[in-house]
Amino acid sequence: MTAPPLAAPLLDVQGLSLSFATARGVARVLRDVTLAIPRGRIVGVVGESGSGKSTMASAVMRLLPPNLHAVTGSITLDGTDLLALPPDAMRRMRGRRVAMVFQDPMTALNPVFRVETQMVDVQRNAFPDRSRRELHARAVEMLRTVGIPAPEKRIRDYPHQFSGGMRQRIVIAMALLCEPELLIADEPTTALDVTIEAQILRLFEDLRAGFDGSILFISHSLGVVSSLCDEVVVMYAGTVVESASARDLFTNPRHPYTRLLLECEIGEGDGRGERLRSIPGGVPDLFDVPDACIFAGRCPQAHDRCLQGVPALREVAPGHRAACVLA
Amino acid sequence: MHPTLRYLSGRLLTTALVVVGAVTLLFALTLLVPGNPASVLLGPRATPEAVAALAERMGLDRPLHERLLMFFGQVATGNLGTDVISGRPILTMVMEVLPFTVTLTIAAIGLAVLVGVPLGCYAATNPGSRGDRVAAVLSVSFIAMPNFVVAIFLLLIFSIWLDWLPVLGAGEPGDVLDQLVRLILPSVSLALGWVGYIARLMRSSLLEVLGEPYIRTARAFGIPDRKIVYKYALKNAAIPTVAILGLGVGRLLGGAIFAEIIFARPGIGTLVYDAILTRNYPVVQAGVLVVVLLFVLTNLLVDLSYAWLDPRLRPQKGVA
Ligand SMILES: Nc1ncnc2c1ncn2[C@@H]1O[C@H](COP(=O)(O)OP(=O)(O)OP(=O)(O)O)[C@@H](O)[C@H]1O
Ligand code: SF4
Ligand SMILES: [Mg+2]
Repeated sequence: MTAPPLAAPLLDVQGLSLSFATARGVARVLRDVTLAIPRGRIVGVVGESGSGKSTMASAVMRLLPPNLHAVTGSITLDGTDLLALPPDAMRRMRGRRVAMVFQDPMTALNPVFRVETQMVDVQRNAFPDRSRRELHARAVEMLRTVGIPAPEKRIRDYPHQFSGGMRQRIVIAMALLCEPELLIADEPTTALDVTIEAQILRLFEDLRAGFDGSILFISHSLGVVSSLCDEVVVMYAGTVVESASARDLFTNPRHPYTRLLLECEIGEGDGRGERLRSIPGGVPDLFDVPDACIFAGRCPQAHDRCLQGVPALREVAPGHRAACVLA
Repeated sequence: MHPTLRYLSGRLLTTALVVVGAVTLLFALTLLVPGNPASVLLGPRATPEAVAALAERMGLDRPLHERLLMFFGQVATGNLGTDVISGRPILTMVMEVLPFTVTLTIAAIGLAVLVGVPLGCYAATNPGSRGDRVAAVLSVSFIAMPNFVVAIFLLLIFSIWLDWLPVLGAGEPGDVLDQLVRLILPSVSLALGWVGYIARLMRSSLLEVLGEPYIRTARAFGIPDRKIVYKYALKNAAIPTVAILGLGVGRLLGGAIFAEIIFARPGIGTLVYDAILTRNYPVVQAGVLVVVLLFVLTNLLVDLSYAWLDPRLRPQKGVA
């Protein structure tokens, strides 16, 4: 394998389409998703519930549910095509090269093992040669870094002895311990209440300094993502509708969906993306996807041209891409 | 008081209550048997004087509450009286055969766990495979066969037909190998149903646990599948199996009685069986009492092992 040129992104997702087999038929959950994460950057992915954010993240981890129907496209991490890797090679990538923090901290940790056991075991893949004592010491230090008080004592506790916010810190610590090149955080604050959410977000901002990998940060909320991330990808019903630097996206959104998102969030004022539901109209049916703009049913600017094929995600300004015929 | 101490003392108190209840029931057993226990014991040709003398020796002439208290006193001090037939202390008779029953039961449980757990794990990690389907059919037929039927079949096939394994008894004292060989058929006949039971139970609880989010977390960190199944999932999945085993010990002890009779092994089962045939109720009482105590004790151990398996069940000092 030859080293990719430096300018090449760390993660490169190209034309990723993915479907699940269900009792109702085949659900085309991701369609032609393209996004890139440059080295050392934080890229945010926003979209309302069901837009396919978690599915996209699971595809990168290759931890997809068993009812997977078909995948096409490519996911390249640092020059390696993840979708083509044999299962055991993919397993060895996890933790060491790419790690993930899940949505719900309450169920993410194994209830019957000490935090210590779990924190030591997750490092084994990344550092097979280090002794247990070393791994333990690193775990204690990392707990201190993420803000767990008295870590040398608390590490002997079980997950249920910690609050939700503390558990999320532990999971983040576990991910950071592996020093992955790519850290995926899938709505790490959605399950937490607002004050704890703010603390965890501050933790991510503090970590930026000490972590030199890239982060894929998934969120409901444009507000959260824009303050934390360098670049933002907006997803809608299984496709990417717009991607740009955080500033461009905020000051000059090009896709009608992004604009509506921004209006809703500013209107609601609390910065939490659940209000996306106030955009009129329903989410399209993923079982029968029309050959048209997927947002046409809810778009205030929709017109005839929008129904003639799916608009391509094209560059509308340097580094700014949108999938809308008007953009 | 420390929460752990409080939990333990509460648990011990309920155990004690169960024992008191069981002892009272055992006492009531002598009242339910028709006729005078002394004359029943001595048979139809005993003289009235002999019956009266034995009745007095057994305390049968005293008022009921005194007899109950006496019985409790006997149980508490471990002095279960003297066997009228052999003239030996009943406690000694029970203690002599107890190790055989305990060994047989432990061997059966051990065998059931050693075969059932891996079988269940295999089935859960290869759901729908040919092996899974074979395991399912085997398990269900093991569960469906009563263990005395299994015992008789094993005896016919391996001892009489193939002549591979010795038939009867517990083996020469001191000859460990002989004793082990003679343990094979009885413990297999006892364990077979439990193998099926544990395999099915392990399969379903392991499948459920493998779908839990924390297993996904373990996968997301590249922990090898083997370690995920046998370390991270197994400890969670073991909890229902341990619960069933705890309840099952009573049935296993009951099954041990059949196995002992069929394979002519010494043990509590044969002791109680012979005592019933000779209507020697004090010995029956003592044998049943020991079985009850064993049952209560294992249930206590099972309860304590829950706390070991699942830290959430341990008494809490507080959550931060
Ligand atoms: N295993 C599956 N089988 C069938 N459909 C699925 C499966 N997993 C997800 N989906 C569907 O795929 C779509 C995208 O789900 P996904 O969980 O990726 O969305 P999301 O953007 O992460 O949403 P949220 O913000 O609620 O987490 C949803 O419509 C969901 O119902
Ligand atoms: S393509 Fe048409 S329907 Fe789709 S977002 Fe643009 S204007 Fe709206
Ligand atoms: Mg999600």
